Amino acid sequence: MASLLQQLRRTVAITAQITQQVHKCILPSLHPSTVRLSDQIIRDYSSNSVKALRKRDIRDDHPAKVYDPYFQPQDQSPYKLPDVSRRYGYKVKVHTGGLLPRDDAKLHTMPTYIPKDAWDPKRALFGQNDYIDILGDGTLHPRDLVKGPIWLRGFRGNEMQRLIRRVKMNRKKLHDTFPKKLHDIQKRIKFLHKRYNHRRLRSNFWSGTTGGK
Amino acid sequence: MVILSILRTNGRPLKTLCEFACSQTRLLSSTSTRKVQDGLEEYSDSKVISRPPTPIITSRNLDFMPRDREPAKAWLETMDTIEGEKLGMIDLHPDIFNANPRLDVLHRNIMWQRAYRRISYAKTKSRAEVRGGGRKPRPQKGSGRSRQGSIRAPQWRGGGVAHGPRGPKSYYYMEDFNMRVQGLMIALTVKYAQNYLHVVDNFDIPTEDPEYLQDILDHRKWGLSALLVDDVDMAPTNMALACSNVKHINIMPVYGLNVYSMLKHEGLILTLAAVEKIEERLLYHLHRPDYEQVGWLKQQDANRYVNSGGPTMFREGDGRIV
Repeated sequence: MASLLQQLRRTVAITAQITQQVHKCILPSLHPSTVRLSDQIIRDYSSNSVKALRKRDIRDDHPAKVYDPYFQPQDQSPYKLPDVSRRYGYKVKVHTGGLLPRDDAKLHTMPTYIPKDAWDPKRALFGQNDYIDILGDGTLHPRDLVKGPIWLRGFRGNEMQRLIRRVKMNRKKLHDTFPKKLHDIQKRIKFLHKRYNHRRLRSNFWSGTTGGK
Repeated sequence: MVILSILRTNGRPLKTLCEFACSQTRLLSSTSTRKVQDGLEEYSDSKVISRPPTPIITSRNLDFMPRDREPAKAWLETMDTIEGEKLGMIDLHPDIFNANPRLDVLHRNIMWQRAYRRISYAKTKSRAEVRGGGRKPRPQKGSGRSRQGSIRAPQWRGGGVAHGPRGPKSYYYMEDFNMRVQGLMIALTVKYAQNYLHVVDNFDIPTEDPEYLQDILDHRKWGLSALLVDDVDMAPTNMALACSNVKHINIMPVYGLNVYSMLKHEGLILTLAAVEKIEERLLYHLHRPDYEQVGWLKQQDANRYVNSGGPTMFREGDGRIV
């Protein structure tokens, strides 16, 4: 009876040691899996890293404190069985290996502030030739300098006016290349015409009256 | 060539003119040539520029001169050395270079310059343009949920925007013609009053090194940046190369001059020919016979076709009216 108990104790103690060793293998930071080739380049055999060679990382300076779920304090009496009643069969499903490697993945941070160049050619020469009808010979006008869609050069209007002008100038191109867009524009013109012209205006709410009653 | 262009018989005695003309012939001999100051050895390909003795010019003819006002004065300098030489003092028209400094006019000009060329391309799709959403998601009554007509209505996720920006939009408008003329004059006045305006005989510099221009600006305290204005749109090789390598020193012809650039650059350096041209143009617009009608050109603009596109640009394609 006593020998059986001793055998049981020994097996439990041995299994505890084996589990500790097993977990030591799984938890990479506990044993030196990183071999320092130089101060900057490290050979890493941990399962999480893609490349064996990697640059020195923050993990090397701060070895992780690892949670060992099967930890038993050293000062326990060898004559006492380890208390596995609560932890028996429990599988750790949390990564306990410390910081994950970046593997050269992009680190999302606030973008660095780059002030715009106030003297790049576009900004340095902004406004050039705007007074060409005054200081030139009079053949050119500043609206000839406007770059943009053809129907908007030297023209300003509300949405309906802009769409009508666009169709007048670009109907063939719209019909051949963007038929759905032409259809949308025609629908929009109809809608805007009704919105602008067939609705009561808020500004006319009190018009035609001599006072509220 | 420049010296001949500024010769005027504005009451100068013939004797001085003859002496001056004789001195021109002595240019070829070495006795009357003045060597440029030393100190150009540090710059590559510097050459000696010779000039007749000073003063070269002492007066200028100003048109439409008001009787009760004195002309403004400015030194005529050179750019062939770092320190430069003062060739004489010239008159500037007071209506242009001593106008009333109306800052509100300057503000209107700058706002116009920033806005008239602006085209905003922001656009959002309305509920009619978003793909899908033609069917009623569920019957009007019976489901216990709110009534909805389309899955692309603005209240839906992924639906159209109700009052968003609609299409390319232009902010074009034209400031009054005379307001813009006045703006140019006031900008020149402001530059002159703040000692940022300098007149130079020409833009011949001895070297194409951009540091030469920077040294001139530093030594003569012309400002942190400079706008060089010539009357023609061709510049001497050295000057063109030097300016192209410095971002804050820019060269322009007279027709490119504008209020925004004058205020962006600190120093404004005009050649004498540019001063002549600017004065001629601005005084013409001030004293033109259709002065009052010019202000109403805005209405004529509306009927003019842009970029000489005629009525064909406005054809209503296939006869259909949209």
